Amino acid sequence: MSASLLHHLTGLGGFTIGQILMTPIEGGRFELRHTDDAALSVGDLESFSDPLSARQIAHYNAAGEYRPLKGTPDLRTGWRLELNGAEALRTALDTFYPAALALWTAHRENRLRVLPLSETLDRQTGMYRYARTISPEGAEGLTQRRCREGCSRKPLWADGADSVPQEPGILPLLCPEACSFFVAEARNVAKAEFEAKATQSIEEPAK
Amino acid sequence: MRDLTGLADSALLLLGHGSTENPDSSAPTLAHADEIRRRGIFAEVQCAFWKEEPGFGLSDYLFDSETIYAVPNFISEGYFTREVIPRELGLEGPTTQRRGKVIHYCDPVGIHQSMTPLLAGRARELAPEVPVEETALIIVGHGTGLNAKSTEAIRVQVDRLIEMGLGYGQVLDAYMEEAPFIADWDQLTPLPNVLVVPFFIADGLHSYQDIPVLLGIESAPTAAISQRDVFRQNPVHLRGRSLWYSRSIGTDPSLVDVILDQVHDFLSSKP
Repeated sequence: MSASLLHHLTGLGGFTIGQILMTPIEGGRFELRHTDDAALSVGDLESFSDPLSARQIAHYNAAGEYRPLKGTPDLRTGWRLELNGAEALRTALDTFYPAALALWTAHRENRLRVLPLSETLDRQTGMYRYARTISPEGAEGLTQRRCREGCSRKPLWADGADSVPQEPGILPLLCPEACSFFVAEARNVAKAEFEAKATQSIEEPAK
Repeated sequence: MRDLTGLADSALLLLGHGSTENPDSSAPTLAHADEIRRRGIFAEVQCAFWKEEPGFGLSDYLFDSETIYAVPNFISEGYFTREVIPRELGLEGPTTQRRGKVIHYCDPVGIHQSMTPLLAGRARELAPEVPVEETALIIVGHGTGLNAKSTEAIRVQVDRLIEMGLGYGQVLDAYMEEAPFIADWDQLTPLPNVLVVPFFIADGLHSYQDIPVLLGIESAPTAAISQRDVFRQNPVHLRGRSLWYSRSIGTDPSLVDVILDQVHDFLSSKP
């Protein structure tokens, strides 16, 4: 990712990305903390300085559950990262929200390719081939549940390539194509739809 | 001698499976990437995953560099290296030019010949005092009736380990889901000492949670390794034998060198 992005990022002053608040502090350093911890004093938070500490912080939620999908809005609170320099800031943000800075850069440079759901599902093979049989209603319900309500990333493939949020001080998390979590769940929904239809046809035989 | 000078303007992309269930699946891939980044060989080093983030399909956004060496951190050739990765990355062969990038697709780590001394070293570290002639070394893999390549990588390793003449009474291959089954480990050898080394990338669902149940070390799958205090104690006395069970070969820090060997071999194979 380009130096120009880092320059842009650090020139913004503070910003919010997902559930994280970034604040420049003195000496070319940056602080990251959970947005819910915005009002807490430094002494109330556990401090880290290694950008890779983000890996441990982001790995489990407050209930101790593994977070394979980093966009889920259950990042735990109670920590702060004090980072020395823009490169450390980038490493930490790449860890909290993988590819988010790269996707945002691509969007700003008009390089982001938004892939319709049908294309993502049609290219699946093996056990996920069946995902393409999901109904439009099933796909919409899943998108609502898992993406709009269950993930901090904006599903551009569902809401339109021009639906990028434009709010000052907020660095948007963009999702240009349905992820493998969505595909796996689409397969489950498609299977449930098929089984429901099969049950219905047994209970209501054609006359 | 591996010469990787001249890659300072290139990028390395490590491709891993990852998991939505096991929190330790991607850890070795991330750790190897950290070490390679630390060595400063490439301008950029990034990882992408099938079941974690960033997904394979977003790989080409991750780099400024025009030239990318993509190395699958997979244990064998098969469905993922031949079908899923090429499809998701839009690869057309060993070298693909697309959207201003050149992507060189290297072989998966598990099929490199330098895996063999790594396995030998792991076995020796596991039980340094054990008399090798009274010991069977079993390399265990997943195995699937769906893809012959999945077992081929392990059989090749076993043949090479035998050729190395390490003195083991037996060197065998065994699998979770096809014969010879690892669950029958005590039937596969009459020797009193048995070393089992998992030919897996991570201490994940299969190697840390499933295989110990098949071996009889655990009665039910345990929590993931990162959620337990210690790795298992060795040896275990079971079915009248002494059994040692290793961490997955893919967690060995030397795997970094295997990854770099695959890039080197790709470069050497170019006309």
